[in-house]
Amino acid sequence: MNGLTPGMHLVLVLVTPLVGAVVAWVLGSRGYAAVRQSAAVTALLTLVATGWLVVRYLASPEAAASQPFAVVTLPWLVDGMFDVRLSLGLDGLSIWLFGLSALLSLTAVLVSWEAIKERPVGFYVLLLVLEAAMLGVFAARDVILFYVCFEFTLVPLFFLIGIWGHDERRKAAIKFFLYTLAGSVLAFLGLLTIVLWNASHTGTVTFDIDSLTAGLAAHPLPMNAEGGWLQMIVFLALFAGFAIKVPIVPFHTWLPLAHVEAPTGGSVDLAGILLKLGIYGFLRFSLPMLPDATALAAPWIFGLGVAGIVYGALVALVQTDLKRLIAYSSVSHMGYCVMGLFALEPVAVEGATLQLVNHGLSSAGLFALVGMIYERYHTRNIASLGGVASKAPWLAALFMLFTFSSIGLPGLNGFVGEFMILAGSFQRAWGGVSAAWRTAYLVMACLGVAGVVLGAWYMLWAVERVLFGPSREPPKGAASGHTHTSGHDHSHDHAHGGHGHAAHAAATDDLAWHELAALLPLVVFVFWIGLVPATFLGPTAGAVRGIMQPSAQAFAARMEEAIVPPTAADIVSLPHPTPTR
Amino acid sequence: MRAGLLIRVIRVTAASRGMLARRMSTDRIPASRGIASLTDIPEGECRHGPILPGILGQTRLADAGGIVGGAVGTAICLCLLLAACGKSAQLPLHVWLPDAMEGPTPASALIHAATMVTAGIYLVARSAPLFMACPDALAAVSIVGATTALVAGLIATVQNDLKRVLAYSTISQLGYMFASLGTGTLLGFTAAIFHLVTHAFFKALLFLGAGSVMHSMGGVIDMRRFGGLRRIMPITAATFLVGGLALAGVAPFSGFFSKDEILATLHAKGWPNAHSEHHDAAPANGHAVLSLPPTQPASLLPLPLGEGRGEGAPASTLRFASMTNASPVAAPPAVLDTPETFRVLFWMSLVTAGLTAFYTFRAVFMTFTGPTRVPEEAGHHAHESPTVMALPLIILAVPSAVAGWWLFNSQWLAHFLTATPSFSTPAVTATAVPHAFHMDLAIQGSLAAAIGIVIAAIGHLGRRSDGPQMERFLGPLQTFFANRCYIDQLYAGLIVRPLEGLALVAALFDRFVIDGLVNGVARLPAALGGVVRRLQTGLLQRYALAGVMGVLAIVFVLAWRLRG
Repeated sequence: MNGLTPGMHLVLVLVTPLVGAVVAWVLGSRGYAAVRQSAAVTALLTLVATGWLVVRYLASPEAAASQPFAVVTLPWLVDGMFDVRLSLGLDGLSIWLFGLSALLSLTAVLVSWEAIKERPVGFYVLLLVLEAAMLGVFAARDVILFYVCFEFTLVPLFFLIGIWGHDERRKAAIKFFLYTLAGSVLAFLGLLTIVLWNASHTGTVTFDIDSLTAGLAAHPLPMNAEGGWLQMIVFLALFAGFAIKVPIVPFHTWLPLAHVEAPTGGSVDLAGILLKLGIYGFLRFSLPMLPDATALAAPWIFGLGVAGIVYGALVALVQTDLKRLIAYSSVSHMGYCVMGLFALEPVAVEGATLQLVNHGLSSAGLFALVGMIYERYHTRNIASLGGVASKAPWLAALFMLFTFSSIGLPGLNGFVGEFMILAGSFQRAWGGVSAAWRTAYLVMACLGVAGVVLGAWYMLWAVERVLFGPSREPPKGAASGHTHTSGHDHSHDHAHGGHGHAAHAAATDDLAWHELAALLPLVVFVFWIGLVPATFLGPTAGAVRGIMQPSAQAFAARMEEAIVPPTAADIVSLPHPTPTR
Repeated sequence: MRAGLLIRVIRVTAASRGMLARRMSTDRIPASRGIASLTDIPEGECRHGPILPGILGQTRLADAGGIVGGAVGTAICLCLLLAACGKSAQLPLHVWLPDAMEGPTPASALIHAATMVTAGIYLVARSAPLFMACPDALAAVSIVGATTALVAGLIATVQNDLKRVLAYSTISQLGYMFASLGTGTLLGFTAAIFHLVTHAFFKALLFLGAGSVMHSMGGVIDMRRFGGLRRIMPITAATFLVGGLALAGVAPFSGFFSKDEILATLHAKGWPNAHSEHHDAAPANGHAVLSLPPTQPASLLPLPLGEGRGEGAPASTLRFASMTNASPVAAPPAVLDTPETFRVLFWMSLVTAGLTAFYTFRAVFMTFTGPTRVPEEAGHHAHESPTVMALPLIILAVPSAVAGWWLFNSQWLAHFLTATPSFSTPAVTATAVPHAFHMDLAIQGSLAAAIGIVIAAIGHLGRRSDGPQMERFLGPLQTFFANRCYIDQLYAGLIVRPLEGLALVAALFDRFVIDGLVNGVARLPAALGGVVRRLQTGLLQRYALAGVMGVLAIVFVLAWRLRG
């Protein structure tokens, strides 16, 4: 394929979902079958094109040199002073999240196959627009483009939750939208400050992320009283946006609500991709551009990450709604990413980057499966479920698999990420912090390990109650008429357009082809990452190290005056002679 | 059930935690590809130089001798021990195993008797060179093992579920193996593996025998509900008896020889002088690294690292080996690793041997002797199991009977094990003693077994198994053991309930405090708007008034400022 330059290829990938959205819209008059087919074809085409692009990236010399790949720069708003460009490209940090977005978008379409029959046009159009926005975030190399895509992910999801959600969908949609918008407006102010600071030193108002990184490395934001602690203020502004997006405890309360109310497809995208934007933002902006502030805040955010792990796990333990339980498990698992990121240790940060993908796979799979259970039983209440494994063994088997992936069973993807994060954290705790911090770090790292136990507890306990034991059927009334009294605009499982109840899955049915097709690609990667993580870590390592280096150095400098290497007293090891040879 | 699940969870996690420690401990050698193989980092690219340094402390890394030991080494070993405890059902992480016996009998026989639960033994044995550097951790292995053996043996004496007796027996026998491993001698390590092998034979036989009984009794496994089955199912009875004799350690069945070696190695640690006189050899006790001649040439390392990988031997073990060998260290005085400790452990093991014989033969007598009774679930066709079930019993009965004698006589297993990487390190081989049969210990062990069998015979031979049993003489202790020492309840009370309570508090906190704050902040603009809205009265006169007041105020301010 000589004609297609990588840059054009990338543009093609980004445009495909939008074209597909238009096609789906045009086909809207032909009924939901045509719409969903066109959406699936679009998602599949995008996935194929993305997969091919990823392969090209891996084979490219840029990947080997940790350089951006498939760079496209088009002037957008360039006059004398402003220099906003439509700047696209991929690097080691974004490549897997980019691929994951395309993968999960197909999953999102396929899990909605039977569930969404009401107003299908709007649903699938929004899903495809969301896909384009997600791909755009990871491909953006310009602050404005990044921010536009970052914010634009909110809009389709707002409508997806607000229209096709469950009972409390409106409240959930508004809360989700306002909460994350409030944070990201602050983040935008922070980004603008960075741009202006850079402009005041270089003379051009550039929004290019690479130029900004280089500019701030040359002229760092002031991190002292004379400079008004500007760097810290900017860091906090970015933190507001990204922490809410992750979400870091205690800014997480929008998440369970949004997940519980969202349609399955929306949950898949929300858990799989949108939560990753926060960590991605930290990696893209905070760590390379604001190293001193990051170094100052790192221990505290590290602690918040650990708190999130334990807290999310504890709250998940007592949930009665299966979807809410998994939502809280997301809070807990994103805590690992936060922990790994702010350990500022190469292994941990790489692990956190990988864990983004891992969590994307496992949580998307679990949310998809919860949706499938809901379609069969019309309830997500753990107490009213039971014995699913005897009715739908494939569903149960995949549920088990994603559970194991989620709790980090060795051999599956979750283990690799968690192991690297914990290993890096312990390393930081032992050898990379001042004596005053060491105990705190060790305690936090141990708590992180304890979170693994809690995670296994609530997940396996839920699995035990839902999949095994005596088979329970939902109450008859709920199954036939549908769970709602206000049935006029709820969408799930509502027969529409001449498709009677026979069309949707009965409780006894095992997975249909589209459900298998939605999950099996994820399964492949669950095993692939678990068994051959080098495939995924290799391309990321260089970029991640480059990105975290300023912060890690600043952290080391902060700790340096206080760092005392562990003395003999610490490991009670008496001096010993060199061996005689 | 919930507690059981938690324990399983802990077990899984403990295992991975042990693994973590193990990985970390090995990554200091530049040639290692521990983490590096995950990330494909070129060597020396890390911030600190070699791959993943620093986890165990800078001092050790700066240390040219490179020894694992001291408090950190002990911590590593204890983490490994914890993992092994979970996997091999040792106190206090043993409660999952009896519950897991609810599974089908062949699965119990295969997994719980022979393979899966012995992974903990394997872990410790594989890490032998590391443990050799940490004598206190080794002693802890023995203490855990012997205590587990005793406690599980006591619990087994009052169980009425045949499979549960065998389950606790498994825990107890695994405890024996741990006790043996913890002696830190070559004999101890090989004896543990020896017992592992013989135990696999006879425990699988006993489990399959129990399955055969259960099959015939229509699913009933409560020993009080049947009896005298030797008349109905003679093959099962005979093979079960063989297994029982082997488990009880009656000569010359296989359990006798392996148990004898374990007792011998414990005895040698408890009475080192007696032992060295007995063998006229180097003292086998004490810290192996200490007993290493200081001029031990480094070329005695078992294998170079590169070759080790090529030959499929775990490189990490070899690295431990090289570390423990390379620099003999004057370790701090051992706290637990004393002869007194091992004397106590020896006596505990001897008592356990008696208990083992007792509960085994109690089960044999209750099931196969006395008046023939079958439960109504079995119907009228209680019969010997078909060939397909009986044949494996016969096949397993043969090694249960003779494997111990053969392996002990030929020393084939011991020789084989001594050549494996973990045990061929100088630290381990230095503790080797000549192969010997310990008649005095054999007599003591056999005596203990005989006493146990006799007591079991007094209480149960030929009696109806549903009558009042001799365990009633234990008084309140019977209740205590029958409730499995209340360890399940202890977990529920100390871990599960508090954590669930904490979880509930966290959930309420989440809902009302954190989310309440968020909602409160969200209501703030509305509240402000509510205040401001009052000004919007819609009365034109009031707006006019406000306008006039405003103009007046401006005029006033201007006048004030122009005044000066």
